[in-house]
Amino acid sequence: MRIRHRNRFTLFVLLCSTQCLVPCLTLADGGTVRLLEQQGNYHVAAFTAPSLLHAGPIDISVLVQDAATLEPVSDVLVNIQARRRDHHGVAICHPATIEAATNKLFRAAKFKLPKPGWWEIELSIEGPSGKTQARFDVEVAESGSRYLALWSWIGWPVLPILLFCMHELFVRRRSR
Amino acid sequence: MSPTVDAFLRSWPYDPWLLATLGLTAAIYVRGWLTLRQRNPQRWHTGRLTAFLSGLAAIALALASPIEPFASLLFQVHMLQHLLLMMAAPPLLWLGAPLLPLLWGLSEQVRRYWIAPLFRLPVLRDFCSRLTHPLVTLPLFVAATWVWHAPGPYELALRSNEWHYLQHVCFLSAGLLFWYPVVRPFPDHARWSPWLMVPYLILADIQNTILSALLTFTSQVLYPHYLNVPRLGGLSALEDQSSAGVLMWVPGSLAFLLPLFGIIIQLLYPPTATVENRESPIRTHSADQGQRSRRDGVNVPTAGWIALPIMHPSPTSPAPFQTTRFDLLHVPLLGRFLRWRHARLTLQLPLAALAGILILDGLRGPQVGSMNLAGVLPWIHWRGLLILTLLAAGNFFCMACPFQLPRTLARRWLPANRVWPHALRNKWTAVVLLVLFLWAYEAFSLWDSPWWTAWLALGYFGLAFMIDGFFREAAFCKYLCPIGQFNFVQSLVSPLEVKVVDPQICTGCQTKDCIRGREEIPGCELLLFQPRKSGNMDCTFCLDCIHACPHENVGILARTPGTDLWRDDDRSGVGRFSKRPDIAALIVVLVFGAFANAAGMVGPIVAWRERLDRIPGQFSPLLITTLFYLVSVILLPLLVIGTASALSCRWGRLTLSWSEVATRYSYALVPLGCGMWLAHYSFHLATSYDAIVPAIVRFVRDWGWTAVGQPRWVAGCCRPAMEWLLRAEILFLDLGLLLSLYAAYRIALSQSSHWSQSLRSFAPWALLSALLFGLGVWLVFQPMQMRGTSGV
Repeated sequence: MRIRHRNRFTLFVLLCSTQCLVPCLTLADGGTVRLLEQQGNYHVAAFTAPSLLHAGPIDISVLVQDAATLEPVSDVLVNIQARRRDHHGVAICHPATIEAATNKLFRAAKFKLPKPGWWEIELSIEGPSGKTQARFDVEVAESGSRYLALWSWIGWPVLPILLFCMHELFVRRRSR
Repeated sequence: MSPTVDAFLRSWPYDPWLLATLGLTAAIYVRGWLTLRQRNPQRWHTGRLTAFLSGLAAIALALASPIEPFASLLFQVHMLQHLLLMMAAPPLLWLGAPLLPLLWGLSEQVRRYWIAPLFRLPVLRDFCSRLTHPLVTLPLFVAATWVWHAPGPYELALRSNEWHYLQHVCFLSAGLLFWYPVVRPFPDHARWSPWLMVPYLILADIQNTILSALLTFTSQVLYPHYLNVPRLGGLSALEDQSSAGVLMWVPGSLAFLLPLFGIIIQLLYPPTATVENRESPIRTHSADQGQRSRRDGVNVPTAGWIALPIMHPSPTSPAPFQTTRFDLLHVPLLGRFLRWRHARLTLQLPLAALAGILILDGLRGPQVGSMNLAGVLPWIHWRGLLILTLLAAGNFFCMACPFQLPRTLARRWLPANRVWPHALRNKWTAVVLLVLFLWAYEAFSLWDSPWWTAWLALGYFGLAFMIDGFFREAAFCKYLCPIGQFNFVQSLVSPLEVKVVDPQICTGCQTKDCIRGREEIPGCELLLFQPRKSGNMDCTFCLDCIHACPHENVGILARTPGTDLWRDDDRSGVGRFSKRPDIAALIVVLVFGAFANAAGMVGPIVAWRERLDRIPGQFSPLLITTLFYLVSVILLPLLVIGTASALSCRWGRLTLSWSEVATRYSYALVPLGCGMWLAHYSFHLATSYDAIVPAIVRFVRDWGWTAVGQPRWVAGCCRPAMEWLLRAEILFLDLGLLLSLYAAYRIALSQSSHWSQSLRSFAPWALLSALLFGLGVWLVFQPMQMRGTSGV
């Protein structure tokens, strides 16, 4: 067999392995933009992740910029409150911190929203240029099955098993 | 420094999966490169290594650096990420000539059994051959570039993680394809004129120029996403887009034009024949190519036809050269430490001191698991680290075992001259002790009872002292110790083993010091004779054989994990696995015990037991626990293993009895059990690793040292499970399933000469493995009861 074929086979393997290289890496910090507006002396942007919100864990991240210069404001306290729009149930409140965010421009907090439906998210911002508040609504769908969400992690052994079956069939056919 | 720049420099995404994949790839390449370099240092120079590792670093930079989190805010950063994936990483990877290093970096078994037959697949060969032709790679590269820069797909990728993932895969794949004909990595050679590379690169540059000019000079923002994100650094979305266009234009064009100039110069001024000629795009197949190829483990120098040694796996003809097996004793510092005669004692003393502290705190400290070192140290940290070490390296806990010290003292003070009774020279006693231990763990809530835990440790010390004080040949370790049996079984899938380096040296050895000992150095007390030793069963990693061997011919060598499971050698001190139903029973108890132990802490099972407990006068908690373990560790295994064996005999038309079949196939279940133990214990370790801090502070304060401050008990409770943890648990089970299936298949092949019969014999065990895997997945998805950590 020509050696070059083997080298191209390595290419094939490398191409396949690229599939392993990039998952989870595309989970950019932030996610979907929910709010982008000026509130008082601040320019506030809020993001939610994942893109489609389901009851369960969600991530809310906030970027506070100076309204005049658009420079990020570093010494600012941000508290996030989430409550159902119909005001049923108790409000969930978490401080948003830089430590919880991957992108250190942001402040992030993780929430566990127990129910589907419309939720009202309220941001309380306190910084050197005063206090302000901002709010936005998000629609949260029914909780997705965790099995479905992680199906690829559970099911990937099927692929090597199939490859192995092909390998064995091939080997047996040649040996006859 | 601007706050934006400061934030950029601190925004490092944590992605263990990417880093692990890149690290593993690098490790395989480096191992193969070292082997090849021994043969031909001129060809396998450090430039290749640097190029390949730089290629991997470029991928890491694109996907696991601040570039990644800022890509969704700034188009120019996103463009930089794509340039790294398309223009930087692929040519660097190819310049590392990865074929041979990656092949030789793999274990010989994987290379010969898995890779070689795939190389022979004509379909795959033809597919790869067509795929790498410049007339295919260029259109694919152009298509990937233009389609993904169209507003619709680009916006889709910015909105959806899945599409973004696909976009990155396309870019990296297109880059690898495009740069293959340009670099033509060794040992490839030309199928087309090298002049073809000139229009190839020019066309690629033209299309790049058109697209980047479009991005640079257009007066409207092409991707609305960037209009709806906060602006950084005073850049408008349009300015950001223009900058991205310039970035694509200038460095992008350079990436095409520099190789183009290099190729033209080589075409006009061909270099004299050197080793590097063969990588040049203008090279032709030369007469000395075959000789060079042979030096690299590539033989048969017929023109244009070269074969790798892995293609001809003949037991009689040795491979041109062998990969050197990794030997832990050759690692700088660590190897020297392990060769030191007192290394084991040095490891044992701190563990013995920890055991003493554990006993002291367990007996005198507060009787709350999470506040007491006897509740935290053994049931969170030791268990988790034990199983991780077993799988990452080997049976290093037995090496550092604190119970060795009372054994040594016992042999000094007591006669230690009796022979362990013949009837007990097997693992059956250990099986009973193990079942009792699993039951007692649950029945007496050992995880939350420091007092019981302390007494258990004391009992262990006492038993080790008594047994080895009266009996010789490490009877306690070999026949009784449940922890040792756990380690022996799990280390069947460890990557390291204590083994003879060169069997030829042993054939001429007259003294057999490795088993007899010499001077002050004892020989193997578990009676494992090194030349006939195979695998890790019954090996405590005491290293006595390493110290005793006068030829320094025993090492801690790397091996393919799991090979012990299907090989049925006549092992020194152990015999054939197929003739050891006691070891098979031990394995079955440990496998089903892994699932029972994990099931005992998940919400649905706990709720079910509480419901039974509430029925007045019917079931006591002790009875429920006893019944649970009776069923899950004894009756259920008997039923399912018996059924699988009976079906295996019937379907495979085996002449063996069902008990012989059960014995042989039980070994295949070890990886699944190992996966379950690892998933379970790593969960506790990851969610409660810092529970030890307040317990230590409390312990130190109790002994009068108040300067350490107050314990922060908030850390004493478990933290929420990290996002990656569930994935890691599933991954452990996945790997366990694959190795179990493979081991069962290899065992099936050894049971019958007909492939179809082997398959039928294998089927029930594959089904059983799949069922256990399903049970494991269900368990890790259940809400876990944080026992022993939530008491504060």
